[in-house]
Amino acid sequence: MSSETKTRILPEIQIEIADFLYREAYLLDHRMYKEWLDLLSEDIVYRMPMRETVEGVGVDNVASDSAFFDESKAALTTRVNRYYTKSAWVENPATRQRHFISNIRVESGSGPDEYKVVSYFLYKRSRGSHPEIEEMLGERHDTIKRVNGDWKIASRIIIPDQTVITTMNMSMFL
Amino acid sequence: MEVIGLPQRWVAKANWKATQENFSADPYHVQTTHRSTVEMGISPEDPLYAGYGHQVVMQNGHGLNVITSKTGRSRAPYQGMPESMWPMFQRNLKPEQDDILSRTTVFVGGVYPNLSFVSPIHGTEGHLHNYLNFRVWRPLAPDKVEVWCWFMIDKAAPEEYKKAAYKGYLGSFGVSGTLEQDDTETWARIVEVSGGLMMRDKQLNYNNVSNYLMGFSHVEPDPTFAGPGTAYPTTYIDALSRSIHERWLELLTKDLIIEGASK
Ligand SMILES: [Fe+2]
Repeated sequence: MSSETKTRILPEIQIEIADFLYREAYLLDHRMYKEWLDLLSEDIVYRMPMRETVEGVGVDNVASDSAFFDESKAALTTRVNRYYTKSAWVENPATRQRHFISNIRVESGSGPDEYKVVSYFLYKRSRGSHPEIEEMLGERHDTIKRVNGDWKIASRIIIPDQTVITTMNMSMFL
Repeated sequence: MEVIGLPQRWVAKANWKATQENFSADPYHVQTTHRSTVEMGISPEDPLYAGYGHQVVMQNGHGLNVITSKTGRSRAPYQGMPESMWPMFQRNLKPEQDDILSRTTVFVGGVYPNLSFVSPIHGTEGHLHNYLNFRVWRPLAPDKVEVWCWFMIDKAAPEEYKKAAYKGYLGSFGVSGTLEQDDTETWARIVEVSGGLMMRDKQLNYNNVSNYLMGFSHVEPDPTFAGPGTAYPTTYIDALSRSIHERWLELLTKDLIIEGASK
């Protein structure tokens, strides 16, 4: 099967999935973290491996043994619940943040209602009264499926483009 | 010990002396900076909970805190390492070393000037695991530190335990760790306040810019502590902080002060 005939994704599906990802970004940017959790399947794999600088041509530079995130739904829920306490100082006072999601590409997945989705992210945030804007960029490899009529993220691998992180901490979800 | 993976690297808004002091000498910050863990029911309500145990001051600005708990024992024997490994610890350690290891909840300390370590018990999925985290504070500017943060674990631990401990590490320390996130805020505030005019007008001595007098006049060393160094019977004490800053001043003024020059 050639790659052209393998994946003919209906435009409606593409629009629905893009809309889903924009809605997700909206929830994160507006600190609606509990609502965000509802978009994740119960068995979600949420990983952010490290990027490394490797010499050579065509070599893999995504680390397989080290990460910034390696979370289950339970672990993400713990992180989210913390942001609803009064003393998670990293987000109190709150960060002002934007997830710019672009370059969305949808391919069929292993099931009838399952899709492999790649998207780019540009994350920016402003904190306190500091003039500097912090940022992070990279791409996300998702498995998104429809469960009982609702779209859910079943898996997300976040690939950062930075080897040295320049946000002073990582309190954000990507 | 086995190092797993690459070090996390990130640029924090901090002065290297503040980060070194934070990890070497300051369990006192735990009750306020990490208050969210109490709100979450992960840490005890008792405000002294990180203060039980000993602060050990070594020479040249080195030292650590051996944190036990209110009962004098660990909340998990051998820091929650698998029971199958306990006989190995007992075989390899002297009885008095084994006694300290079995009773300790957290080891946290530093090697002067810019290497710190913490060996806690943590997990974000309800199960607690132990690991060892080393970090080098690489000063880039007076207000900027690049952190290099390594995960280490006992080589003899079962693979499954190592994997779970790594997740516990990501949930607690390192740039995305829930504890470290709040630490970075304190480091940044110290840098910002230091730039203020009122701070610039201060003299650099104790009880002026910062207090550093906790336990100064009334906490005596505990002569029964089996390990080396000078051990104080609480970790809520500024003994090691003072030792760090005195070492810094000694090195900084080494060739500046000439005996009898002012006479
Ligand atoms: Fe801390």
